[in-house]
Amino acid sequence: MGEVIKVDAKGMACPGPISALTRAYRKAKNGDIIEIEATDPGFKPDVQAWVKRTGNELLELTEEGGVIRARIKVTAKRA
Amino acid sequence: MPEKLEEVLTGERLAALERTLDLLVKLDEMGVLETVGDVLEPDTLRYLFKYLMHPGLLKVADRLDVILDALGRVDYEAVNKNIDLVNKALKSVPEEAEPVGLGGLLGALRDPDVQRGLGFLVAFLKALGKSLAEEKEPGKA
Amino acid sequence: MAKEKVVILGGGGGGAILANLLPQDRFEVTVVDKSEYHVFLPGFLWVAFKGQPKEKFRRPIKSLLKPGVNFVHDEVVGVDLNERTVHLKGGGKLGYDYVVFATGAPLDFDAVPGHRELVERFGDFYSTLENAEKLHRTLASMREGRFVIAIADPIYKCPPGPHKGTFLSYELFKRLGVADKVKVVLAVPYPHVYSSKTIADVIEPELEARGIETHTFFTVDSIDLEKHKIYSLEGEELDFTVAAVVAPHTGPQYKVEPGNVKDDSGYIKIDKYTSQVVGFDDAYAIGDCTNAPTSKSGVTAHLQAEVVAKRLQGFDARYSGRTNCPLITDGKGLFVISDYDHPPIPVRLSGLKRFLEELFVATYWSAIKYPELWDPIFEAYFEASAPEVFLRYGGW
Repeated sequence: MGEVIKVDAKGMACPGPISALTRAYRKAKNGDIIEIEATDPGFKPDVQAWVKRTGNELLELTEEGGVIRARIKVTAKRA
Repeated sequence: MPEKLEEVLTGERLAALERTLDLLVKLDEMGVLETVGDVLEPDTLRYLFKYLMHPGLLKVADRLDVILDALGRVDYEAVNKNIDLVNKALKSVPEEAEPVGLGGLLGALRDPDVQRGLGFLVAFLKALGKSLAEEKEPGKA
Repeated sequence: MAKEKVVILGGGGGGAILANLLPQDRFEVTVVDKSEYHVFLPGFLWVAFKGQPKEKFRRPIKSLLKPGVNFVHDEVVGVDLNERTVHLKGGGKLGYDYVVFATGAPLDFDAVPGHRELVERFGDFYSTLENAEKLHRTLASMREGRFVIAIADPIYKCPPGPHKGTFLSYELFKRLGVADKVKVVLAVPYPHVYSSKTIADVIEPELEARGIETHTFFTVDSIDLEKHKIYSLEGEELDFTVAAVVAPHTGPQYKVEPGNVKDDSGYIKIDKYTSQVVGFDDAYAIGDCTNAPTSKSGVTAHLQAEVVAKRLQGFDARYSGRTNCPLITDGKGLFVISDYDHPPIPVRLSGLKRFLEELFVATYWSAIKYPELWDPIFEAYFEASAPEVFLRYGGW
């Protein structure tokens, strides 16, 4: 079982949230889950594009009360 | 570092220095040096730049090429001929003009001033239409 | 009244301006730096891509400080905020009434495998004047292939720097007559070619018009110099003939007591408006060494230096988070203008802004040495071009 890495990117303006995700991803291993919360509306399309490009698994993408929450399972890191 | 005056004052430097000194004497006689010294105060500079650095000026300066290009093509004789006309008309427009419906428009058309203005506008519209047509199909009109 | 002792750690842009701004009848100012020289970092671009002499962008720190400011040429190894003491490598100690961290963000060439070898081979335009000079020699001898500019971490100083390098290298290859044989490639970690979409939309057509290849979501993970490949964290790879990669940055490497004034990445935690180090009213940090959520740039350091100078004199000054990062192409320029409350506003590329950038570079030393002359000018400029002002004008 992998670790759960929580990233709080609330209040960060673009491209803060995606930068925070990139930084968390550098430290992550396959099997880990990255949970990231952001308030920047641009984060939603950005994280979808990121998942598509990197080939990781988007478990959940929700928006509630202005907070966008993404749960990503790390599966595509180079060994 | 050179230590002696002769080492510092090479021939060409000496010639430049002499010219500079002559210029300084001239500037001093005209009171320029003293005045410049008086004006060079932090607050004078502060207010000068505060005034000059207007966002509008920054925006205009950024588009100076576009603006000069446009200004260069203005027919100033035509502008000069009509500028008083336009100024007067703009000045006499009431602050809040009443809305006019179709009935009001028919009534207004009986006013000789409106008739003259309309004549001007029709002539202007005709010329505008003509140049629009020319722009679309050069040589047609 | 005895003068208050101010110790400024670092004689770069922020530190030197602050030292020159503090009135000497009230403060005894000491600047500490491990280098005797102040290097104008944006000059790396001018050296690497225009071949300008490196001496132009380096001056002795002592020569930039006003007479009366003390300069200590030594390396800071520790700062004890509780004891109000700065420890030096040479064994000395400095006590203070106020301490200001201004030591910048050193680069970490060991974070990315293969990076050190890459820089040793080709040079770069982010680390030293010598490496910039080396990159110029490398590029000037390129006749064909791919010159790749890439980034190893999304947070780095001078956000438009890689883009400037891209346009200037294209200009250099054009001058050398090899622009059709050398492909310039720019890879960025962001979803768009620039971190701000507003700015990306302005420069994307410019990059395209010059045939520059761009890659998004590309954060350098490792470099293989033998295979001439760069691998990204996102799982892609790029071939290069010559490459320059922006290294990850770090916070201050010296020890700070208490340790919790540094954040997870090692940057000094400050109040983003006052620059005060969290938990201490006699310690400030300015420029690249802080965790302030704004671009790491010379303008930030300069504006924070002014805020700290005013606060030390008892005035209530605050830094708005204002940035003014220049992004230049081969003929035009723009400024990335933003602050804490406004993301970058729309700014068009223009000849005036290209000229202004050239002017800023030319007057840099003067601006450091004579803040009393330049500050009224900068103050007026920053006021007139503030994001909320220009937004009323539809941008600049």
